[in-house]
Formats: sequence, C-alpha cells, structure tokens
Amino acid sequence: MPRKISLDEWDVHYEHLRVQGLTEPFYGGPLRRHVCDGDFRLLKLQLDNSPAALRLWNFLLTEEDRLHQARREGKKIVGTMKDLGTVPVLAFSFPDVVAFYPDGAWWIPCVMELSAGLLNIADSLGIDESFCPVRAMLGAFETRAHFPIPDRLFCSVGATCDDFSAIAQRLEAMGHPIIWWEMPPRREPEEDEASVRLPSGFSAPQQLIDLVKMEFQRIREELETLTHETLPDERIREGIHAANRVRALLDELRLATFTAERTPLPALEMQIAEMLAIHFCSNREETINVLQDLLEEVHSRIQKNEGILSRSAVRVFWINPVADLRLMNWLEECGGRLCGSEYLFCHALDPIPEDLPPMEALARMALADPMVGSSSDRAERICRDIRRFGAQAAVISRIPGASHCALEGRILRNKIQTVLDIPVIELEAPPLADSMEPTLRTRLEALVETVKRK
Amino acid sequence: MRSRPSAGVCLYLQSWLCAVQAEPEKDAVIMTTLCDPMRRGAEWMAELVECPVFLFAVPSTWQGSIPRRLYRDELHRLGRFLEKLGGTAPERESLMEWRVNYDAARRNLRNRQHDLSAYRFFEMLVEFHSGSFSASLVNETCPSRGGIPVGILGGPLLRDSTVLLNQIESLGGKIVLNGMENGERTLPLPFDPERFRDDPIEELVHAYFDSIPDPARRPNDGFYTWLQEITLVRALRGLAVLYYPWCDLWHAEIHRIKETLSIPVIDINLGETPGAGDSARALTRIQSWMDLIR
Repeated sequence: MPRKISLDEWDVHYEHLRVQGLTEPFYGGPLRRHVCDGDFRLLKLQLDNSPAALRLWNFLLTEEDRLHQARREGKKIVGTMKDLGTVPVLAFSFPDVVAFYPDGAWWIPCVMELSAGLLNIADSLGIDESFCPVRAMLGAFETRAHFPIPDRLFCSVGATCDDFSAIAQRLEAMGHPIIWWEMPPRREPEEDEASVRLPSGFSAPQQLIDLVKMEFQRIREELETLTHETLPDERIREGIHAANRVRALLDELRLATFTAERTPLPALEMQIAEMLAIHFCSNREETINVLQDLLEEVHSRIQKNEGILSRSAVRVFWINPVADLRLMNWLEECGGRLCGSEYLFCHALDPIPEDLPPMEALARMALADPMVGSSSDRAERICRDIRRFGAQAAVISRIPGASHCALEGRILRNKIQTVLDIPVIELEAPPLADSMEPTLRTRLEALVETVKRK
Repeated sequence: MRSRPSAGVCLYLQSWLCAVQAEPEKDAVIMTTLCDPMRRGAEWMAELVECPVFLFAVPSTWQGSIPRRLYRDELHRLGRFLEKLGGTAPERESLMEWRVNYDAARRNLRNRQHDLSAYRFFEMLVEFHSGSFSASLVNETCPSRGGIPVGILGGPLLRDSTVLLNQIESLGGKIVLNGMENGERTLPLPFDPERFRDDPIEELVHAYFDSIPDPARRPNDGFYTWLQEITLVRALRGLAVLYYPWCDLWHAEIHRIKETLSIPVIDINLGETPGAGDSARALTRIQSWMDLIR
C-alpha cells in the first residue's frame, strides 16, 4: 500500500524491494548511505515508499557526485545563477556541458542540518541571517566540499532580489569571476509599442525581448568560447524540445497528482520533482526517466484508487519554496494536501515555444519569469493555477531574509482572497524549523480548520 | 491596499512612500529600480496615489552596449511619459542654458564643501538633488570647524538620521566626504559642452550612468576603485558606513569595504525608527571610532 515511511522503515523496505527484483539506475542504492554522507535531515523526514520515489531521492542526493564525475570526464561545468530555468536549456544544448544552479546550495543547511557550517562561513564573510538562506552558497564555494567549482558562472541581475545580487557580488569578490547579464524588469507595453504575449500569459514589449535576446546571444558566445564549439540554432531547438519533454511530463504529473481524488504522491516528493525542471538536476535525460517513473506510479495509484492521505485532506496551494523540507510533511500531518505550487519559477514549467526562432523563444521565456514583473502579475498567474488545481486555501511561505517577501506577500494575499475568496496564510520558517514546529503546525491546522468550517 | 508595507521593509522606502502619499500637489511619481525594494515599492505607490507612477529601469550591469542602450531607451521613455502629462520637450537653446546653470551650481556647491558644516552641506546637497540649484544656495557663509578628516558612505540618509553628522563633528571629526546616495557621490560628471550640444541624451548617459559609483552595479569594482581613490585624495582617516535595516545592497558590502580600506571603518545600522533607541548606542560607537582614529 502506498504510504509515507521513515528512513528506518526504508532500510527494511529497500531490502524487501531488492529481493523482489528491484532494478535501479547507476546512482541507485539504499537511502541510508546519504545519511552517512551527512544528509541528516532524512532521519526526520517521512518519504514515499515507492521505487519511483527512491529513484527521485537518489537522483537528487547524488547530484554532487554526478557533477564531480562530469568534471573527471572532461565536461564543462557551468554554474547558472538566479534565472531559474532558461540558461540551462541553452547550456544543455552543448553535448559536453553540464549546467547547475549553485543557488541550490540554499538547501544544504537543511539537508545536512547545519553540520556543513555553510551559514557560519557566510556570517564570517559579513553575510548574516538578515540575508536569504542562499547565502549558504558562499560557504559551498569557500569549502569546495560540495559541487565542483564551475568552469563558468553566469548570473542574471536587474529585476532580481537584492540579497541574491549582493551575495553573488560577494562571491565574485572572493575570486570567482561571474559573467553578469541584465534581466530588465518586465513592464506593460506602451500604447503603439510593439508587444508580445509571453508563454506565461503576461505581456512584454518586443524591445525588452530583443534586449534579453542579445544577452542570451552573449551567453551563447561565451559557451562557444568555453567549449570551442559552435552552437547552431538547430541544436538549440533540440535542447528546447528536450526541455519541453521534461516540462510536459511535469505538467502531467502535477495535474494528475493535484486533481486526483486521493493524494497519490506526497507534497515533499512533488516539490523535489518540480525542482528538477530548473536545471534537470545536472542530467537532462535522467530527469525524464525519473519523472516518467513518478508519473507511472501516480497513474497506477489513481487507477487503483490508492492514496497516501485521507480523502478529506484540504487542498492547499503552496507559494514559494520552503527552506526546511519538513514543512511539506507537516502540511499533510495537519490535514492538508498539496494541490498546486508556485516556487518562484512557473516560467520553467511552461512549454517553450517551438514555433519561434530558438533565441527569441528563450528570451520570451526568461521575461515570463514571475519575479521580474509585478507581484500583481504573479498573483494573477497563481489565481489561474489555483482554479486549475482546485485548491481550497493558500500558504505563502516567506523565505527568511528574502528582500521580495516583505513587499509581495500582502499583494499576493489580497489578490487571492479578493478573486477567489479562499483563506490565505503567510508563514516563515528557517532552514531548520524544528524549534518552531508547534507554532507552524498550529498555523497549518488553523488553516485546515478554516476551510473545513466553510 | 491603501496602507504601506512595514515589517522587513527598508525604512527609507517606507518613509518615501509616506512622504509622497502625503504630498498634495503631484502630477506623477518617478521611481527607479536601483534597488529591488524600490522596484517593488512602485507597485505599492501605484495603489497609494491617484497620479501615474513611472518606474525607470536602471540597469545593474554596465559592461558592453546593452545596459547603456537600456538606460538610453529609458530616458526616451521617460521623456514620452512627461510629454503625455503635458510637458514639452525643451528647445535646444534652453537645454544648453540649463546645462550651463546646472554645471555652474554643481561646481560652486562642490567648492563650498569645506566652508560648510557637514549638516549644512548635506542640506544643500539634498536641495540640489531635488532640483533647487539657484546661485543663492551656495553663496551663504557658514564656516565649518576643523577636525580629523573622515567620510560617510551609504544609501540615502533620512533627515532624522542627520543627527549623526553633528555627533561626528562634535567629537572632533570633519566630514570631508559625504558619500551618501543623496550626497556628493551621486553628483554626475560635468557635462562636456560639445557632446551635450551634439547629443544631450548620450551625454546624460555618460554623466550619470557611466560615471556614478554605486555598490549596486554588477560588477561593482568601479565603486571600490572610486572609494580607494577618494580615500587617498581626501586623506580620510576614517569612514562610517551608514545603512538602514533590510538594505541588503549596503549591508553586504560592509565587510568588503573594511577589507579594502586600511583606515578604521565603522558600520552604523540606522535602526528601525529614526532618532530613537539606537542613537545612544550609535554615539558610543562613534566615540570609540573617533578615539581609534585619533
């Protein structure tokens, strides 16, 4: 029966699966080994018991190993920062380039339960807890104990949050050269101004798209110089097509999971699965395999009318990624289920147009980023998705120290409540939220109760 | 959504939103994207006021042609916005006359710095930045005291926080560098008359975008080059970095500023509420800093 189990239970379950003939990819193995590597948070999480979930977790937690392997094989490692979803599509169009987001280091303090000391290192560099947990990235570069130092670093700035911009600048000052590129703020077109409807549904002036296209051309040329290879448009088209394969699978997974009568896959695994979209966890082809497995499992459970939660679980739309993964467990333990999400990168989930010149398509995608336009735009997209997935409530998860959260929370909340008349709460959790568990559970329980009483 | 944001929001932005909302006579509000709170603050402003709000996109990057093109395009877009409100594009001759007056006033202001107290110089800079640059502004005499040459650096300084300027000078410092955002740091370069005549927009791009040092630029090496040079030129013996809570851009640079300069650098968090609570603590720290410099 599908259910969530602890790591101790997974030890037993894994042996059972092996005896039954479990086949695993090259990065497979028991989850316990990741705890031995320092991923102590696994000891406190409740994980889905399917082989598909096992594959997902192993895929996620072996990314650093794959990056080091790629380095040994002579591939070029490219660190892409901040844009969350578009530059890796370009990078993965090169056969011997692997792209990843060093920003992802923001989860290391949670997953390793602060044992890696990355936040202390950030403190020593003058980047204290008033900044977003992505400051852990500085510690990761300083210790060199996680991902290999990339051959090239790209970072978008402009319409981006100040703490990330400041942290990235600090990184450069530490001796890691960055190729900065400008992301202009998305604005409404003027009257008589040539404009375009973006894949996300927002509009933007063609002038801004042309500017971003020029920046992507510059990134393309930098990658060509790095690899000593020319990248023809046809290969970018293939890269876009492959990225769209990932996006289509994820969309199907989200729709099936969020709209099923019984929850077929837990919130935690759904969040991890969604994160794969932004840079394919450094292996685009394997991401497709992982998502296919998850989709198969979800379809199977739906067909058998099996689920991991009660039918009466309240449908909750989650806004912003959580610094502590445990919150996704707590949501479900408090009577909620995940029915929709917006983790700052809905533009990495939407299909990239394949009927446009590839660089134009990528530029439009980048400008469709919900964070480069107004919070009202973002709220509109969230409302559309809430309707699509049938959520009954929403949680805005503030990221501690993030400069945008203080200003957009009220706008998001007001819009959702006005348009959809559903309860919305804002909460904030640090990378290790254990000490706040009673408070956060109370908030989540109250939200669930509010919906049930309606 | 008629109330202003508060918790976790830079005090300067909060004050700006409040001041503009209270201003009765305004046809428009112009804000820039120099920092992300201001960028997002424009959306709040649009809810708080009846008049149109223009958000000017100041590029963070500066290398290559793309950021300059964006800045230039924004200047044109601002021009169209002002014309739509009823403004008229200036005739070339009146533009040239404006340039001469502006350059002269700015030059005079800079020349008077050492004759004025830090507070009075700051007041004049604020008036100048707000568009008042009549000759009478710089003709007054207000002899300043001598003292140990120090500098202040940071984002915009609210009037309630200017008490720090008098505190520094009363403890024996003489502020010879006002590197605040509404101080001398953001005065543009003098305009080249010929370039201005040929292409005034291009010359504005050069004088402002190309030249004003700011830690928000990416990369911001130019800011540090300027800082090191001016520290030498003005013979600074100490530097105070003043910043508001939640100002990530300045807060993040404090450590690097201290690493870069070989003079004592103090950082002062200007607190959530101006003039209350933190001022005694700040005074104690300034006293220690001045003792160190002496």
